[in-house]
Amino acid sequence: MVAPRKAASLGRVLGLAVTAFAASAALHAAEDFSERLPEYKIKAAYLYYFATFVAWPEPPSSPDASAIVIGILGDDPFGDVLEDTVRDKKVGDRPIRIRRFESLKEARQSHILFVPASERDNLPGILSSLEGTSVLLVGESPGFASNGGHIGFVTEAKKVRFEISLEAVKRSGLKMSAQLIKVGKVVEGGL
Amino acid sequence: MLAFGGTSVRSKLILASILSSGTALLVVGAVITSRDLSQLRQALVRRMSVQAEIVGTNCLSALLFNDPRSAEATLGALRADPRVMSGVLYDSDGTVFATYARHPSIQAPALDAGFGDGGEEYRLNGNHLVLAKQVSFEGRKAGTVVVASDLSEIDDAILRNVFIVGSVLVISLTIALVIASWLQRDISQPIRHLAETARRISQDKDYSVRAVGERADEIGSLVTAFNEMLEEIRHQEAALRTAHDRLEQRVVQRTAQLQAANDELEAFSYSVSHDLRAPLRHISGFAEILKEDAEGLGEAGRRYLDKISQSATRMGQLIDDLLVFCRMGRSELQSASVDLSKLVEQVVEEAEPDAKRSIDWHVGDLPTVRGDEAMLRVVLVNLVSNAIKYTGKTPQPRIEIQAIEDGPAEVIVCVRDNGVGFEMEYASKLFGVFQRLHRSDEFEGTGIGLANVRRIVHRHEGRTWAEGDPGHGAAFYFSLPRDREALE
Repeated sequence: MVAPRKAASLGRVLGLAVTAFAASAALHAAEDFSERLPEYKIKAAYLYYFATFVAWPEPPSSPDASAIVIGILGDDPFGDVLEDTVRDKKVGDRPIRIRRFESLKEARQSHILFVPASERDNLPGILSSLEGTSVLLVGESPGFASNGGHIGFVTEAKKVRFEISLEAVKRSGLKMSAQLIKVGKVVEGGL
Repeated sequence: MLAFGGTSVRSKLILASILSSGTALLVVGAVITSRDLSQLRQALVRRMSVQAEIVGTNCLSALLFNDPRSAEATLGALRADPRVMSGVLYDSDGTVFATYARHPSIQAPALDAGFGDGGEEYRLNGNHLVLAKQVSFEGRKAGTVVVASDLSEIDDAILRNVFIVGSVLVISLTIALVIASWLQRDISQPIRHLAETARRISQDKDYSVRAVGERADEIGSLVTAFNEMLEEIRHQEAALRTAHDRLEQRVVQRTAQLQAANDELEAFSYSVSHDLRAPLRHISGFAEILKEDAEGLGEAGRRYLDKISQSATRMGQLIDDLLVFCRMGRSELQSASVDLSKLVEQVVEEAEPDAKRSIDWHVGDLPTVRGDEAMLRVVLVNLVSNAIKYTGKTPQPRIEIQAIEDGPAEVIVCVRDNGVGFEMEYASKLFGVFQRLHRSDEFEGTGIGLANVRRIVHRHEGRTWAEGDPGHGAAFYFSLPRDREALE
């Protein structure tokens, strides 16, 4: 009970420290994708697609039970892009809502939680805090999936790809479509 | 049936049954083949549709996450169906996303604008079936799968069907041939038997022959009717023969009776004529003796004696003629070849001195006939002397004797003069015994000549007739059967 909280606060402090680095990395990546779509536009689309290929066991305790909640923990790298991407879109019959969380406690209310690179240092705390919930954890830090996350974005040959940790997904009780697994890169991963 | 009217019933029956069964089989084969064809095509389209659906659905994530490698791996599953030659996954913009080809040489089917936008669409491209299926994600088009499939399966099916239909046709027609040649016997055999029977009957004229064939069908009734007709013919023929025989018998009877009556009559007239001569000779003889001692008689008495004497002489002449006439009927015909030309020449030569005047003779070519020369001479003598006699008062007498070639059976001879002639209404009386149309002081004669002519010609199985015109002359005709031996 104590450990996660500590980890979260620690993560926040560390996050601030690495923001500069991450920003420069993001800038670098954005340059690479400038010919095509901006990196976060692609990631935003992918987040939406993930929602269509994943089935949640039970809707998490959300005030808006019918909606699929895509949460962003900490600093938001998307800006308006994510809102633009999911505007007017639905998953089945369910609308999509974007929420930004500062605390891990609130973040449990989301279906998909995006953990930006800025949270890299807090990862162990974040992951262990959400252990046992059915929140799909998507991150962009290197080795995110291998270290306990569900899906981690990676950039390969200037293309946005993603890694999947089947063990983590299995543990969380989420049902992930084989179609999604097929296009992702399966990695060994666990806490 | 028109083209082979000359062939036998047997061949026609076999041909008819084989043609009908062959046609039926062909029609059935064609229907089944075309049905198979359309079913096969439908099945192929359905299968391709399913393939495209599966591949499309499985490629959805690859499309969404822009992963052509994964899509290519998914498309590679099409290899499981040997009919699929190639497949292409286009993205929502219509650019090629991933391809699959069974062989590297195979060209991927192009995606025309709008093709497959309706969800699913297919077309036949030469020997390929090209099917496009849209891949949708959340109600939007994510891409299009285009699958090209080989139609050789359908070609193989057609070939197989044609082979099966052909084999069935050959086997069925062979069986049909056997059955038809076995069954046709039931029909053609009795007809042939009937035809053979009819031919034999018309050849042998044997109406007691009967066709056999007790059957319940039309051929049976034909046989029955045929036999009944034969029976009828046989009956009628028998009746006809009976009637004919009876008639023949009657004719023989009547002829015999007639002959008897005739003979009796001839014998009677001969004996009467003969017997009449003796008293006549007495009358004539005693009249002559009386004339020698006629001083006691007056002028009138002597004139009466002369009359008696003359009448007796004339009666003697009549009796002689009558006896000649009877002899003509009784004496036997001495049949021989007679040259009428020569005969006429002799008769005219003998007759001319009697005429004591110049007659214009016209004698044509006359044929040779078969008959009794002496009797035919009598005919010609009578006709010629009549002609001379009745032209006695004609200033320029002319007599023609010629043959009228009329038909192969008989020869007609005509003796024509330009004498006094006669009324046609008496033509039938001319040939009667002692029939005269003129008074005897006008033209002498007893009136027996033409009767003799007719009798002789009749005995030669010929005919006599005459034509006349008062004041312009007469023509006498007689016919004789042609002499076949002389002709040859």
